[in-house]
Amino acid sequence: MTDTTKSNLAIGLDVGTSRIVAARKTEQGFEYGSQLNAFLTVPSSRVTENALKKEGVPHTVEDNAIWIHGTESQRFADLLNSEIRRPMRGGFLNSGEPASVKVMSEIIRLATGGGGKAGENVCFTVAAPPLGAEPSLTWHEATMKQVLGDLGFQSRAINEGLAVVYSELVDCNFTGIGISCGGGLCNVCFAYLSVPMLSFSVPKAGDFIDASAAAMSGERANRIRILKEQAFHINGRQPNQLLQVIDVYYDDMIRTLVAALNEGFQNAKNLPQLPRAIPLVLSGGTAAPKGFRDRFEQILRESHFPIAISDVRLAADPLTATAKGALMAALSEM
Amino acid sequence: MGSARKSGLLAATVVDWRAKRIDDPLNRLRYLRVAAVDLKPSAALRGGEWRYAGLAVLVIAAACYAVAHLTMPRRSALAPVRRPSPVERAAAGVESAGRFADVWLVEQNAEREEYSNGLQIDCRLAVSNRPRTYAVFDAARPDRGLIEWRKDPVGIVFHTTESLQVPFEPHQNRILMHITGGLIEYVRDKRAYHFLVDRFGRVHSIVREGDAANHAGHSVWADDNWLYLNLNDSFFGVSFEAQTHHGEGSTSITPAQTHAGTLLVEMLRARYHLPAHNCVTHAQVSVNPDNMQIGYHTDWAANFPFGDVGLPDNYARPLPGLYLCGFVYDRSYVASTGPRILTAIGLSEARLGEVAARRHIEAASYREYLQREYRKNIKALKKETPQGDGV
Repeated sequence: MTDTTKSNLAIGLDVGTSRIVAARKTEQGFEYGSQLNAFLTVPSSRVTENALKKEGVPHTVEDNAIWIHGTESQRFADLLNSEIRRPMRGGFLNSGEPASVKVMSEIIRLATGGGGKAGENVCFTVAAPPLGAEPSLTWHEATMKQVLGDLGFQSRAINEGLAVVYSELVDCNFTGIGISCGGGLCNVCFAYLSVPMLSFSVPKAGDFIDASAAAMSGERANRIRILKEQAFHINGRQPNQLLQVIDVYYDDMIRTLVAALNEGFQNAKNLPQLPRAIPLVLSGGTAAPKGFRDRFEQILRESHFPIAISDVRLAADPLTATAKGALMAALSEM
Repeated sequence: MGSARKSGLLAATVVDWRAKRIDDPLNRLRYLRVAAVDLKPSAALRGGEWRYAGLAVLVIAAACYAVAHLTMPRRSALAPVRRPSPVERAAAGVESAGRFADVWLVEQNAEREEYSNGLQIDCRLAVSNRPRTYAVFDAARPDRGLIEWRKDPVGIVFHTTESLQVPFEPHQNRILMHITGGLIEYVRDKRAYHFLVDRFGRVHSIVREGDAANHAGHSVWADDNWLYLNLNDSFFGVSFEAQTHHGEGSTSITPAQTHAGTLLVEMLRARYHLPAHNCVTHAQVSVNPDNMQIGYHTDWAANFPFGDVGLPDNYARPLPGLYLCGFVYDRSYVASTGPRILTAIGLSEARLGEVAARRHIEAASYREYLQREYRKNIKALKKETPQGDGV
């Protein structure tokens, strides 16, 4: 089997609270498939079902309801003025959502373009334990392996922050801090020569901003998320009160993240002494708005962070960097 | 240094050097994931990332030893992290906001004080008031009650006089001087502030620095450690001869007042080691215990030139009245302030919500609990303070 053929049998899968992104290697570079990690149920009717089929909207029919999966659920939620449902919460399978496993399976199938081929390897991301907590993610990880196995994949897990390092820090021999700012969590990993030395998660990220801003403004969290992703620029001078509110909670999220970074690194034992300053790279949808990197760097530089940071970078593509890093991990094992 | 550790350090250097010579990112990662796996300083290896530990690294390190020994500088790659000392951090500019300028008293007589930064204070009309003494509460646990009594000031509250304003123009000199003269007499009689900065930028000492002034009334502020209630004794009151115009960007002072304010803040911070985050405006600290709302007074609710007077933008700081004492705010407060304090309100609400969630109670219930604790603490202050509750 040639290297190219082997590469075609690897997938990097970013399993995030907000989005699921699949990365594949092609001859031209990398190829990505992305789906919103969400779904919506609408009452079953022949007319609706036919319309969805005609439009090519991914759905299944079950229990007298039509289940619309992935990115399209957002559009229909907007049309019906309702909230989408989420199979994951806070970085893990949503225990309050009985259909989470079934829905995840559908969404992964959509993101990866169908089930696994024979011998196809998936490296999927998992969250690190919260700061100060012992790892206890076996249920989530095991369930994801089960889901992927049922779809025909061979799978193994990789820490989400480490995937960011693998994607973005090749020029530093994969030494530095990778942070994935997603929907439910911010995942942090410090890697030294590709080896994870310290990793933890911070349970305040995009969903916190959406929910808090929604509660304060009376808008739906969905709308806040769309507004945040499409028209938001963190600069402290917002043209209207809603954007100002979003800015407030962004600031709070960043401050919490920086405080956790300080706590995590100050309390870490047995870290290697670094001969030079290391880079820090930010990734994920929550890090994507303009001005995020600048605000983060400003707050980080104002804090007493115990490790010398050479530069704070934003991933080349914050939405796909984690999946690309997971793919790098999968390919490096072939 | 033990020989085992020494060989580990060498291996790290070699692996780093070797990896940089592999151009293809994927091959570099492949190499590192095998070669560097044994470099983790902790003896406890765990998780899937460590499964390759063992012989590989030793083989590679040994193979590269000779080259590295001749070409690479030796580095202590695996020694524990050494955190920078405070001096090093300050040198790196990290703590610049926490450093104090070197300001000293140059000359002093009954009429005037002159400081090394150029500040001049007119002391001719300075008066005494009751000696400064105040209680502190634990900012992390206000329910612990009164912790101890202190005498040293901890911050500054900035005010506006809300007095009559005429256009600041040369032909108005006589009227401007007349208004300021009357104002000084008034605030002196009321023991209203420690310092007054008039529109020409002249700084007047009103109440002597060692005494309390009646400037803050019912008020709340907190720093990382302590909660302060009713700030007449614990904070200096610095007032600018100006009038509030509600909303963003309208209250203003003259350039001379800004300059004088900068020198005064610099001197007070240097002399009393006042943290920058304890230099805030009256609108940020003022509360009304009768209706449990913040912002009874709204002077400097917006547009205080924090940056111009050498301070960080303290408008962004959460309001302890909201998140530590359970006060609330209404639309009129938001309307009279502007987006800068809206930021602080949002952060305060988020902070209160977080603590409530950690305690597994509703935010509203936690707020009520904070309000009860606030009333209890105020009652304790009234009981134990000679002058009442310090208002």
